[in-house]
Amino acid sequence: MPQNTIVLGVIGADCHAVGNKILERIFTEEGFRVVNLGVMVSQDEFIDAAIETGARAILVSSLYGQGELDCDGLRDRCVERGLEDILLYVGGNLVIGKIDYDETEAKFKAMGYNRVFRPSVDLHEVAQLLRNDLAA
Amino acid sequence: MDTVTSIDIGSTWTKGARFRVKDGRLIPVCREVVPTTVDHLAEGFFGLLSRLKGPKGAPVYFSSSAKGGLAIAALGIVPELTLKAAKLTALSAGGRITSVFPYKLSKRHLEELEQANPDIILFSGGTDGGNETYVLHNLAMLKSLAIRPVVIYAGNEVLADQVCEELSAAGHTAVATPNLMPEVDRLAPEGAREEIRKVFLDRIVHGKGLDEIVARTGRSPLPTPYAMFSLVEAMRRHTPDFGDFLLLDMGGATTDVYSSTMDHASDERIILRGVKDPAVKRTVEGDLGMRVSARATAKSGQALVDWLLGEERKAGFEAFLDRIAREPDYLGESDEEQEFDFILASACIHHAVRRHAGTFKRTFTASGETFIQTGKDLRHVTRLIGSGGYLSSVPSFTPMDVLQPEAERQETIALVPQAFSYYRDKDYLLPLLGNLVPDFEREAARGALAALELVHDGLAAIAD
Repeated sequence: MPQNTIVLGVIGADCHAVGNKILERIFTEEGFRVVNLGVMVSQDEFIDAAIETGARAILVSSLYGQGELDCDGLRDRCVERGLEDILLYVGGNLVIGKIDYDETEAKFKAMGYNRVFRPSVDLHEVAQLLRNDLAA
Repeated sequence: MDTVTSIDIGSTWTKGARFRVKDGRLIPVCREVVPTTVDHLAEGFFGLLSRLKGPKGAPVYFSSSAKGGLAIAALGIVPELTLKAAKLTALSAGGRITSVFPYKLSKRHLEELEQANPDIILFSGGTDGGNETYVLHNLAMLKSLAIRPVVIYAGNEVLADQVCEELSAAGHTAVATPNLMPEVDRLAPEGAREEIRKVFLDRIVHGKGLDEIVARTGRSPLPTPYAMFSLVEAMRRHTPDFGDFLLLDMGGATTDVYSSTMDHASDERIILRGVKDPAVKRTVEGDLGMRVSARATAKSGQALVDWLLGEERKAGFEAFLDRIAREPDYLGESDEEQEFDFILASACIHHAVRRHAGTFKRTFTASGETFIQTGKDLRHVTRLIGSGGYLSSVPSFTPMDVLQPEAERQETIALVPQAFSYYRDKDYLLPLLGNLVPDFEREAARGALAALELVHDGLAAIAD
C-alpha cells in the first residue's frame, strides 16, 4: 500500500483555483499520490476522501481570509471519525490584515494543525518536511 | 435469422412480442399478454409463446422480474463515497437494496444482515491502494455470518485476494471484481454489475419452472430492470440524435427512473461536489408505486396529493386506496377513480424524478453568487419517456405539469427537466427490446425509438 497518499483542497467558500493546481503539480512531481478535491471543500469532504484513500496527510489551503473560521474544528472532527493520527497541514492567506505570522502559526497549531505555512513558502521545502513527518 | 421473440415474466403479467429484424431495426409483428402462472412459470410462458406463433427454431429471449430483482445488501465505508457508489451499482444491475452499512460492521449489523437474508452482499470500501482498516474489519465480521449469500467484493483491489481466500476458507462464496470506486469520485460499476447478473442467473433460475424455460429456449433470463438499463445504454450509443432523455418505468410497487445525460457543470460559477453520477443511471423508489405502494405514495407525496385532491374528495380517495390495497389488479373505472390514478401517478413522478435529479445549493462567496451542484443536472434533458402499466396504457396522461421547478427563492434547487417532449411506450415494448440488446444492440435502440408515441411536443415551443 502506498504510504504517501495526501488529500489536497481549498477549504470553505473559497474559489481560488490557481494555487491549488500548482500544489497538485508540485506534490505529484515530488512523488506523492495526490487526491485533489479542488476548491470549496468542506471539512467532512476532506475527511471522507482521506478515509477512503487511506491518506496520511491532509493539506488545507485557504486564500480568502476566512481561514480561521473554516479551519477550526477539523482536528476534532478527524479524531471523531477515526483519523486521530493524520497529519494536518494548513497554508495560504490564513488571516486578514497585517497580523504577526508567529501569532497566526500559534493559533493554528492550537487548533491541531501540525504545520502552518505562509503564502510565500517554497513548496519543495514543504514536500521535504512532509516526507520527514510521514517517516517519523 | 430475421425473426426473434422476446418475453418478460412479470409478477402479474407475462408479456411477449415477436419482432422482425428489418432495415437495421426491430419491428414488432405481434404482441400478446397472459397472466403469469406464478407456481409454474413455464406454463404461462409457453402458452404465450405459442400464441406469438413464431417460426420453429426462432430464438427466444426473456427476462424475469422475479422477487423484484435480486436482494442486495451494500457495504461501503463513507456514506457519500463508496457506499453511494455501491448503491448505484446494485441498482444499475437491476437489484433491490435490502440494507446498507457504512464504516465498520458491528454484531448488531450482522444480525440485521441475517434477518434481511439478501442474495448478494456487495462488499466495497477503499479506493485502490487506499483504506484497508475498515475492509479488514468487515472481512473479519463477515466470516462469522450465519447466512450464505454470494459476496461480491468490489473494494480496494489490494485486498481482493485476501478477501476471497478468507471468506472461502470460512465456507462462503466470494468473488472479486474490479473496484467500483478505484479513485475518489470515479465510478467503475461495470465489473460488479456483470457479476451481479451472473449471480441472478444462478439464483433465480432454480425452481418455479424457470429451469424448464432455460432448458427449452437454450437461453438464460435477464433481470427486467437490467434489460431496461441495457436498452437505455444502447439508445445513448446508437440513437444520439434523440439526445438526453429520462425514462420512467412506473409499476404497482416501485417507480424506476433511468437517465441518459452527462453530469457536467455548465459554467464556472458551478462547483461540482461528491461522486459524479454515471451517464446512464437508475434509481428505484420503493415507496412510490400505483398499487402495492399506493398508500406509501400518498404519504410520501402528501403535500402534492392534498393539493391536487382538494378537501371534498379526500374521503373518496381514502376509500380508493383501501380498495386497491385489497385488489392490486383493480383499474380505476369511474371518472373520479381515474382522476385518483392521475394524482397517484403525478406524485410518483414528481418525487421519483426529484430524487433522481441533483441539486443546486446557492451560496455567496468573495467572488459572488456560486452554486454547489450535487448529483445530475437534468435541466437540459429534452425528452421524457413513460413506460410501465399506467404510463403505457393511459394515452391522455402527461407529466408536463408535475415537474414544475420549485420557487426561485429556495436555497436548494432541484435540477429537474424544464422544457421537454413527452413520449409513451404505448405497447410496453421497451423491456422486451431490452432483452434483445445483448445480440441486437443497434436494432433494439432504433426499434425503441419507433415504438414511442409522441404525446406532447415541448420542443416546438422552444424553437419559437
